[in-house]
Amino acid sequence: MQKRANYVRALGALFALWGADYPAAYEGAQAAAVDGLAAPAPPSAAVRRRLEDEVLTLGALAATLPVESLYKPWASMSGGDGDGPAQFGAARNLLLGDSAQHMRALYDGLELEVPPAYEAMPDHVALLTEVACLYAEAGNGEAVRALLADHLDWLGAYEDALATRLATLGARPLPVAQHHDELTAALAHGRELTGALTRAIHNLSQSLR
Amino acid sequence: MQEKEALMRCNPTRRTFLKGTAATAALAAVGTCSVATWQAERAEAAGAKTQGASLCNGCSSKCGLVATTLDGRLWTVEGMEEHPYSKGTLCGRGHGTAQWAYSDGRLTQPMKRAEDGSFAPISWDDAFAEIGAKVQEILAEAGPEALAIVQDPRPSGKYYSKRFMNALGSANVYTHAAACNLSKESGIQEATGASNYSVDFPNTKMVVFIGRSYGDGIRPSSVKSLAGAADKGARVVIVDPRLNNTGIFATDWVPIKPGTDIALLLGIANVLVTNDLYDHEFIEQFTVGFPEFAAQVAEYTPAWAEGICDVPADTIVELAEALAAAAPACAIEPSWRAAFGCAYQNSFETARAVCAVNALLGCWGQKGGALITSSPKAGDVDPVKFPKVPEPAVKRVGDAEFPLALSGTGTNLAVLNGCNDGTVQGVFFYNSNAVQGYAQPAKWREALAKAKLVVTIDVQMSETALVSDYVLPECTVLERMELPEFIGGKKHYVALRTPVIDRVHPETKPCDEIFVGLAEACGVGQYFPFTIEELADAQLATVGTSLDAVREAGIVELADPGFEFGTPTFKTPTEKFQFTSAKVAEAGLNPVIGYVPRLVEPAAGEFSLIGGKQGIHSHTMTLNLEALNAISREYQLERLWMAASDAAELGIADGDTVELSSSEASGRVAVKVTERLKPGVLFLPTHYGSTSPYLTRAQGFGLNMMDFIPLHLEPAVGSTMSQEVAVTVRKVED
Ligand code: SF4
Repeated sequence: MQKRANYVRALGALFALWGADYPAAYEGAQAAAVDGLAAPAPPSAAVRRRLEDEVLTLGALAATLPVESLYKPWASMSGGDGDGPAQFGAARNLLLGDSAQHMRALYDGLELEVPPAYEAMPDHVALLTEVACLYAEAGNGEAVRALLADHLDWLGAYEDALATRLATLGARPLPVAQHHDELTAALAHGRELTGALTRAIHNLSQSLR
Repeated sequence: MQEKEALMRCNPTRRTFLKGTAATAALAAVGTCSVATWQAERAEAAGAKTQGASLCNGCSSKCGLVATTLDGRLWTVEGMEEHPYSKGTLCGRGHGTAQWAYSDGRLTQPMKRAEDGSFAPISWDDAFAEIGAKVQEILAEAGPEALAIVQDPRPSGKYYSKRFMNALGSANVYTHAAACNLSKESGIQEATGASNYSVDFPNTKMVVFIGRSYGDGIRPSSVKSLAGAADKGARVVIVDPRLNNTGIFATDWVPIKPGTDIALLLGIANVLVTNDLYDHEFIEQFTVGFPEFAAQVAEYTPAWAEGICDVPADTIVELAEALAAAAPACAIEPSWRAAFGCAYQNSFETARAVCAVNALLGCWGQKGGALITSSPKAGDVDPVKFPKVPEPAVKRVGDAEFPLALSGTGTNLAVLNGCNDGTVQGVFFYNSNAVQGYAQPAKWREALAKAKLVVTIDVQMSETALVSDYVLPECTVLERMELPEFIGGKKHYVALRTPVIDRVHPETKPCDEIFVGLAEACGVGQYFPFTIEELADAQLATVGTSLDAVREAGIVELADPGFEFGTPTFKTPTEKFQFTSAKVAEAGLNPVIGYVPRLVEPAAGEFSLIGGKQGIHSHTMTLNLEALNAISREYQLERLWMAASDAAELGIADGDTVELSSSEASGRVAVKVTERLKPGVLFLPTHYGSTSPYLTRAQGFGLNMMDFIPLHLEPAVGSTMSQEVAVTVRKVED
């Protein structure tokens, strides 16, 4: 379980911002690959930069973040006290939804702190996979299984979002034409990473059955 | 230590994201971490629920709201009962904009534009320092009069932006008004000495709307007042080429040729004067220039008016007689942007004509008539704690050319012209998407490209932000405090925008902090040695309340201004209602209220193009919000309206795609074929056609009307003349 979780963790980490250090992250993922799965090869520095600056950064040109809240209804619980649900509970594409609230509660219980860069997205895939890995490290298979089922079941929607972004890119004039090719490659690489992570998660959850 | 190592081992690159040493016992605990367990526990425990009062920012009405949060997260927003604009209800866009804090479409950190046009994050410190250096450069080379700010007024924004510009020595402070209600307010000002008035709906017998639609440009209290009047049997007349969504309350729809409302009004005035149906007492005691007006209005017979505005002469006579019979409990409603806020060459004069009809009816200040009420404002505060900023030495750019523009707003298009001729070199925008909405976007882009510095403060990457050198992210409305908002009317109030949730993105800042940062970086920080709380408290003390009191209640009623029905004091230079104006004469226009034609006359085969709001959007600001964008798409609200008879003639069916063209642009859009539009006219909602690739839901959806409008300014007023255009339309065969 641990090795498989390590690999999931290493792939999740590729969605974080690494700057110039990114090759080490890919090397790490390749080294952690298990069960014949192959981690994606690192893209060119220019493509990785577009991915980090324009796709994986909130508010960026083609921002498409691997953050669970964006792909699930914002709030599904009642407000307690006889109150109804949140008024835009069914909406998607909003940060800090139920999944983020739950993750915050988990972090509190685990005495872990969310760094400022992730304050608006405690359910970012880099953090989710890190917690899965920690549970695996503690030998808590049930917790790993619950985390995968509850919090890492939206990668299909994320891949669709990247595909939509890619498909609409051509129709949308960008401020700088020469970025177009790099951005296209960045979005395609994002999909490749998502595919690899989806397979790694599937592999881990199969092993937990 | 063991846990820390476990955390590190997890990660082949030895980088962790979460901080701390994971608690071993918690990691190993079984059955506690699932969402289901958590939700069940949450349902048991009543979460930490709080309620906070604040002000909506979905539009400039700033209605009072009450936000309920659960464990720090926004749960619901409701209209504040005590607020005179919300009266317990928020409109749809008020609810939609509550999502803003959590939206994935926000700016989350300062951005700087590179040479190649792309944007990259920059720290606040660096952004401030670089902007400060640029401002110093402009000051040294061209003086303070080369700096300008354009803002759509909000409680903090209007104070801080003006103080910032004035501290730099520049008088160039402008609002959005040239693309909103500048002509209407300037016209009303010239006639009455007040820039606006209201209709006394509870007592009115008849009200005539010229283009404005409470059912589209919603303020909850206005809709409620109108509904109340309609329930009591008031006659509600809608003069509009389009049967707008106020139709539900209306008794009459008078379809009119766009840009000719002035002819209808003068026709009504003609009937009132010629048939001696006017209020002699009011005219004799409280007006100047009536003889000149009466002489001129003799020409404007109903038959003459019909020839221009296409409203039958009989209808004009009937409306005039009905108004006279209802007087003084009746009024022509003052409007807002609609048909003469900034739309035509004759918009200023149309506003004066509206006032003239009300004067003939003797309804100023009367029960059921047109009321000019007062507004409270903060008194002087301690000049040591809040140092006075010296008056700028040089007059505002544009004031000489546009002397009739209301002094409180100016015309922001002077900034566009100023960039083109080099008099303006540094421009700041606050809460303003000027590029997309104030005049033709291509012309703005061209002009701003010539400026040495453009800075935009906004919550999202608007079209204006896209052409800025620096974009500074403000936190959204429910995350920030602003200065007190004073509200006038029959009663006086002060209300407060307060943060009801924590800032979602730590790198965003409220308006006051941004301007203080800019001021310090530009070397005028000495004018800002106070916090917003200190200033708010000091301002509130001058009206007999305090920050704590207003924060707690959300809104506080101030001392009774003693409103009474009766002819108001007209604060004009003559202290009377003015049928003639010396200032208008000085500006080179006809001093007597009279006819001015529209500028662009559609030729055979061409259409007039009118625009208008939809109840769920505020200009171009709300289009990218998830919920509101979804409504637009669900109901295809971006469509171009076309009269059924025109559609039949052109072989166009409902839902067909057409190409709309003017001298300036062409674009494709689907058509809504309707009986609710006068033939010869097309209606395009004014929210759509975003071109910012950052606004992923908005970009490329529908057309932006301003793309089609030539850049031309209303003489002496400087409004954008947003509907002075003739267009053609053709079906696009697929
Ligand atoms: S009218 Fe609607 S959008 Fe405007 S402030 Fe009021 S509730 Fe908000």
